[in-house]
Amino acid sequence: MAADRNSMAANDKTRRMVILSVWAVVLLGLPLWWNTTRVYRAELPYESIKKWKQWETCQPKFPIRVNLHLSEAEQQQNGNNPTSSDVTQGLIRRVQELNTAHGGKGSLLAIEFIASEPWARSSDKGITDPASVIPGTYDFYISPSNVTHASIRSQRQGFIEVQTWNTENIIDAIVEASDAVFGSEEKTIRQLLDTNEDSHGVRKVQDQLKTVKYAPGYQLTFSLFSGDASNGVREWKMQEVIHAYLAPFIKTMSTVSKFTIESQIQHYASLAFTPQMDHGLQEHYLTPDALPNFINAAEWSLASTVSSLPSLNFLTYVPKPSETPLVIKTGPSAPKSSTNSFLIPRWGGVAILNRNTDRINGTEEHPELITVKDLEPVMRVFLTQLRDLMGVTDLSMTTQSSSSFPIIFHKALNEAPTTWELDNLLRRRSAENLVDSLATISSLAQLVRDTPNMVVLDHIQKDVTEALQDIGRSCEHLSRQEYVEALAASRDGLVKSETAFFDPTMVSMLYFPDEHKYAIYMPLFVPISVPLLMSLLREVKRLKEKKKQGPAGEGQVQSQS
Amino acid sequence: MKPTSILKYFAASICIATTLAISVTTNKDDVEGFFAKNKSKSGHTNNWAVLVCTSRFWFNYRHIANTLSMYRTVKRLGIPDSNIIMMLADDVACNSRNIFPATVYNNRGRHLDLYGENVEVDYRGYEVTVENFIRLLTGRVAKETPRSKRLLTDDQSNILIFMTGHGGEEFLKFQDAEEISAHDLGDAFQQMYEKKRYNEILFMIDTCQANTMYSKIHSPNIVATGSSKLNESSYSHHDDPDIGVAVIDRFTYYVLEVLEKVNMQSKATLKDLFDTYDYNLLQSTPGVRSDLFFRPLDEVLLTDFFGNVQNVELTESKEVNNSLTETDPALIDSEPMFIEDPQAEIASSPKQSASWIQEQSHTFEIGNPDQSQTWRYVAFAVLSVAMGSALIAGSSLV
Repeated sequence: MAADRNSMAANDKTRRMVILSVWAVVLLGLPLWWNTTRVYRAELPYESIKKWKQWETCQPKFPIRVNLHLSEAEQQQNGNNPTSSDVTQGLIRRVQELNTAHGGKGSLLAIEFIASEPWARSSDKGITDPASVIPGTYDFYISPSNVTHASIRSQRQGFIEVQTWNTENIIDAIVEASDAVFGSEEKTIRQLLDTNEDSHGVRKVQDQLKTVKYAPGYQLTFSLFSGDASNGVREWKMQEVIHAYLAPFIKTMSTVSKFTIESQIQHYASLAFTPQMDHGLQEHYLTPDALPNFINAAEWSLASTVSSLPSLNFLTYVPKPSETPLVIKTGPSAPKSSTNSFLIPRWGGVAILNRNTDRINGTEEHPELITVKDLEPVMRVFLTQLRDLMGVTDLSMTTQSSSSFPIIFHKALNEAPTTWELDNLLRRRSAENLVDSLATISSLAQLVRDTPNMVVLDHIQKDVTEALQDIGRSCEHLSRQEYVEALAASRDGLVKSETAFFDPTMVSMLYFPDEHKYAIYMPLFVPISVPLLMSLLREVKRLKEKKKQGPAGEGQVQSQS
Repeated sequence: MKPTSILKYFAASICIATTLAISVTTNKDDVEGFFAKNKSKSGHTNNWAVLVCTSRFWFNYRHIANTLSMYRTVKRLGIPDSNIIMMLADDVACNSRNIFPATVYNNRGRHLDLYGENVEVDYRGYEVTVENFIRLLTGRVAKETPRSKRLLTDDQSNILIFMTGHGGEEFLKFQDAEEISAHDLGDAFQQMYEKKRYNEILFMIDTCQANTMYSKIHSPNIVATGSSKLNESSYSHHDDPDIGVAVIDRFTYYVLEVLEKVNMQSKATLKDLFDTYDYNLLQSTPGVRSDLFFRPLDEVLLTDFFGNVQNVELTESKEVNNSLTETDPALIDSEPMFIEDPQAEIASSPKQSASWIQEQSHTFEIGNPDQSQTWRYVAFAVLSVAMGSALIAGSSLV
């Protein structure tokens, strides 16, 4: 009987051990299962993103320094002449007044006027001082004249000539000139940085429609489309033209973006429709209505697979002889377009180049060649269009009516942006990049919060943090008037935020309804869990019974011995 | 519009005179430029199309024909291949059962070979997966993905998304292997919206219970249309006895019938298209969802989505003197002239042509639509409990 009891006790023990070990496996397995099926989510810096969005961490400022040089000759003539320090103080007061008048909002373009050494005005209007090479630092040279006017030179220099030589008039002229140069920019940047959603619609209506989005690099494709072989076009001197006309633009713009240039020739590129005929003038014409159909998308190959940079197309179309000359005008008697070209927003430009029919008849040495001279007007058009597409603001276009005296803007060679325009572009693109990368990051944060199934790996967190750092760096550079560095930092920020947003690991989880989860786990867990639970319950019951019987049984054992 | 033709029209009827008055005023606006006018218009500068056929195999010939027909239409209306992303199993043209090898027809008449000479399929065969589709839309593609497989849209892109295949309540099958749910689609659109990857989207789907697929979209500026409502099947239009299978679906057939009359100058609107939907022809209830869309549908041109009609701006010379240097401040200012897109040609309302003998081939679906999904889960639970108790019984016997 004792042996029986012993074996029963041993049995009990083994059974208990078995149940315990099975349960141990289950209990140990649970955290393992939980960990392996959990969606890994690295924590994003939500707080600092939120702060950034309201510009609480750093409010971008765009300091501008203007050195004022008053004419030396005038100052020596009589005693009570305005001194440059008077003018500067007067200007500072005026700027403050203007700011308070605009509802106390400090202007984003913080223009600082600095009294500088007077300048000796020589007869040829030449200037001996070297022009400022620091973006954002400008020199204004002020001198008396018969009539008030200003001329803004391309090398960060402005000349203002004032009719009545006194402090008030000088200040007026300077304020007006700087408003002409920086006024529209201030407005644009303010709109850009405005984080309120209301301004979104306004922003779209502007010129932004034409301008391509900022990218560190662009691909420019120059294409020659020839109507058919009978127009005799075989070759064009595009390479030379690019060197001659495009190079200054590319060089100046290289601080903002890099360009890759390619060119192509396609023959037998016919239009998808027949142009209308003006019998009176013996010319074929396209009405503006027909222009959207001009690009024969089905047959002309314009897509380039060379790089993944955003591409801009510039298309020169040489019509076939039977359709030459081809002009753009609204009707048979209407005046024709002076440039014979048009721009497609965010896409590029098209120019129609009519070949003189005499050439085909053999009066010229190389009728098959489109020379540099032939291409010059086309290239001028393309340069103007490229400026528009790249968002180079033409200052002379924006501020023609508002000023009370004439302001002349000088241009740089071959439509390259002037230093004023380049600085303007640096500031505007930096602001745009800051806004865009912040928008990307906060959209990412929003998405991660809204999609609990989305995996967020550590490198996403790293990218986001680094992008925020770059944005901060850019903002600091801006406040120190280091525009080039600021743009570079904002570009890094933009690239990193986009890398984080478009990371391929961010789509690993598709939508999984809860029912599907049950459906997966139930066949596995329900059959296992029922015997597990039942055996545990039975064991507990048995233990309880044993406890009841326990003392009695032990007493028996003691009495026997 | 030419004055001579204006006179002609004028003489023709008084009815048209009102239209003329409108066209004259728009002409006046044209001079002011398209930027100002764009407030009421779509405001897009480029068009993209994503055309997806989610079916494989010979008997799904019609789905491939649907997609190729749509491809042909958008290409005809000016969307270049670089802006069309086509996902196609692409296995019928060279299928050994195809007695017209290397062709795909969408009509018994076989007038038009859809497979033609210049078809660019971007994702083909087994590349047509839910994952690739979602990656394409959200832009989260692998780094080495070529340009042709990317949807490089921006905040000024109008996108047409056309899908066809076999589907059910809130899902669409991808090649019998997987399915995309309406939630996935809604999420993808929301991600596109967050990154400003579109200006407007037209989502069009031809499948069984198609209207359920757009029920979970919640991002603005999306208009959606589908071929059939919940618990309804979409049917094929007719079959070709020589090819031996149905060659086109009804919904696509009648949409194409409208689109065939549209050219790049057309002023036909989305409303004109939606008004042609007819239960008697489709044998299903097509749906339109425009609560997320803020432009009135009768102002939305079909070419805003199916075509690529860009606003262009004439470049006028700013300076007469060409040699511009530092010493030569030529400053002849002339405003650039802006123009608007083409003048109206009143869209002819599509008329129904007598079509082929209408045979129906049922687009079969997964699961019985009468039973709700929950029923299945309950059944499943009961079954697993039963299995569990059977196990207990077995173990206790042992």
